[in-house]
Amino acid sequence: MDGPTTIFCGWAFMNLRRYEFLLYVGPGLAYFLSLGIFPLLFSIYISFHLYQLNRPELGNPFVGVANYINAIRDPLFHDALFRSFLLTTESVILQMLLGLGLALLLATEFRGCGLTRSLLLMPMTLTPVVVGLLWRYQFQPGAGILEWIASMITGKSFYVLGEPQLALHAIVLTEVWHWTPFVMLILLSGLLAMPVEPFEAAKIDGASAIQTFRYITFPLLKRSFLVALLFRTTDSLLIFDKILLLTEGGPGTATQTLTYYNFLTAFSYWRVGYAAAISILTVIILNILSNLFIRLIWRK
Amino acid sequence: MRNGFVDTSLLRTVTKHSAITKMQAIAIVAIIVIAAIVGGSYYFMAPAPKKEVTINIFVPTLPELPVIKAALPEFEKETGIKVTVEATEQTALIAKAIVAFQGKTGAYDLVISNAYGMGAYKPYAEPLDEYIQKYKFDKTRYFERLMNFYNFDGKQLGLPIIVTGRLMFYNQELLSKYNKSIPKTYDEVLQTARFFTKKFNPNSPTEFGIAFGGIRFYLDIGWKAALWAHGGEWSDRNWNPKFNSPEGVAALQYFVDLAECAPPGVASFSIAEPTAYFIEGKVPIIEHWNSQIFHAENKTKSKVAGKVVYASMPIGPSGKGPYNPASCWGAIIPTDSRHKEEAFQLLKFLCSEKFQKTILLIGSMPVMPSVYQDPANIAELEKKYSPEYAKAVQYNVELAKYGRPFFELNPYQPGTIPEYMQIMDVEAAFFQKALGKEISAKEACDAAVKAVAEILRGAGYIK
Repeated sequence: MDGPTTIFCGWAFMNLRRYEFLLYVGPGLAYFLSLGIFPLLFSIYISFHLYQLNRPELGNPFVGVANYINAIRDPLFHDALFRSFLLTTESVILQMLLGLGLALLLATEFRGCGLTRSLLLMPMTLTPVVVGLLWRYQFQPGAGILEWIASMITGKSFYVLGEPQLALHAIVLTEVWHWTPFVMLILLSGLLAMPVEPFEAAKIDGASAIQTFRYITFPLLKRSFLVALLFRTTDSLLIFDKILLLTEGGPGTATQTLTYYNFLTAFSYWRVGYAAAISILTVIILNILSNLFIRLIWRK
Repeated sequence: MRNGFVDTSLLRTVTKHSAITKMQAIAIVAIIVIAAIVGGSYYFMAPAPKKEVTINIFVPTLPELPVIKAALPEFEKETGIKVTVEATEQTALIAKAIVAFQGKTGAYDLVISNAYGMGAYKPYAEPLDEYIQKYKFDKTRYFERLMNFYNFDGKQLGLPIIVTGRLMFYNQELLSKYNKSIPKTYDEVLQTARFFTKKFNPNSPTEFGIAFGGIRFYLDIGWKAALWAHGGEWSDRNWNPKFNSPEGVAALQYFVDLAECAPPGVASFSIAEPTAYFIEGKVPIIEHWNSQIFHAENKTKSKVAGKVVYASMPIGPSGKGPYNPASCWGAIIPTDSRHKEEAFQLLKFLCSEKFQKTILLIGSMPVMPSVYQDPANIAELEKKYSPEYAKAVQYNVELAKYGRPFFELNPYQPGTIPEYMQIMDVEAAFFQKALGKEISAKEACDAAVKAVAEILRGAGYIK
């Protein structure tokens, strides 16, 4: 029973006695099971039950897949899902392009390079709440510089967050400002870790800058790029705090994304069983996307 | 020996030397288990100290919160009951409180909330009738209408503390200067707002003619008052929503038209924005909560202090109304509270004449009519603020007596229902789309009726 046990630990195999293994891994495992796995299992359980906090007299009868069917039929869920994809696509494309551009710029040494890198990383260090409040002020008529520039150009005062056609793009802007440095950081570390030999060979062969980027830099950077893409896609799909602070899902439902709708369903409408079903569907969508990216990352 | 990227021979060496014995491992686990058992036993079995009771109250971040906190030491001195206060924003408060109630945590002994939240609170609120009798609490001393907001199936589930409702604020000075009288009807409000909007009148002294709360909750409240005044009702006797009637559409069209006279982003205006525009003198009219009288008359901040006329909501085209959407802040004692008696004593204290007078004198709106009727109180109010202010505050008596609860859906079954928040949120999202010109008022009302009918059907109100 207590003979040496070979366990896989990261990249290494270690010979540990079983009780040692339990002692070292047990607390972490218990933490993960109680705070990670149990809530997920409980969510799955309540997604198959009627769980309405404002109507406790109804009890919690088993309703099968009714909550899932309701979600699939719910036009507000469709709208929110579409809006989440729109926001994610727009913001992730911008973050990746800008992040790549900045990383390429900062990969070369120049005077003040360290300071520039530090300054560019600053937005990433702020909490989403601070970013939300900061941008709320920026969009405020008569207060924010962006609103001032826009009013100077268009000749009229307007409030971006109050315009149904613009509010979602305004949130994209805050996301891009907040998280482009993160993409830049990952790509920059990828760039700095690249071997110099292929670049020297390309130089000798007379490759242009574009050819070097296309045939050497980008293929070598691909894994870092996909890792950043994976993180930013899952994060953007789950955006909540900025929406709560900037628009509360409005005007109308113009910024009501999947997570915000999920929040409303659970904590304003009290339909917790239904909200759990939406959460599980979100987890499934995220898993499909993540697996897709992970396959791409590990593909040789 | 290499495996993957790491040389494991080193790891094994380290593990071998630092490995603990079986006995040591058992000893560590045993110590942890014993500590947990001892700690747990002490926590669960140790007798609670009987001398001092501490009650936890959960309060929204109301303008009146400082005065509630300031009064607590007096209550503590009188009764020997300690009070701890947790405060948060109203929507977050309801969410947190309901989750705590559902889990029977006993975390809160008294929860202050707006009456519209009673639909959600109802299953978790302790009936107070027994305490009312025991502590000889005289319900007749309070506005009956407000008291009824907390009465369900003949049971008193809470008590009102502060009146709240919506009314019209007019910058009298500006209106008089341009020979404009105080609007009486919805149409007059719109025409006056247009007169003071540069888009419609290039000679207007102000850029915009009106400001109002356009976020879902406030838009819905304002629209409901307009719906009633236009002669419409939200539903029929059997809960079938019928507000896509010509009256309902006209009421929404009024707000769509009004939004053109309002500052940009009105659809996202909450409490602070309309007040800021008004007290800066940037708009001559706002529709707002009575609590904002305090800001409007604050001479240190408001440019319009002493120049404001407070009036009822307008009347409808056929002379119906005015309907002032009204509600109140009150408190419930959760069924899972461990200190219900003590919580009721605090509730009684907050409803006492002395505290109600304090409420009045800080510029808020008590629920006890006699407080408004006492000439000494009014004189004190006039002295502290101004005669205009005292008059404005007294307007709340009318609000409390005749205001129609904005959370009422079915006119034949007054009071709120558990689904009110969802219904309000869903229908108002469509109204906001009309405000943003994404869809017409008629389309918004039709879509909203369809959506809320679905909710009511799901909840079993209609078949």
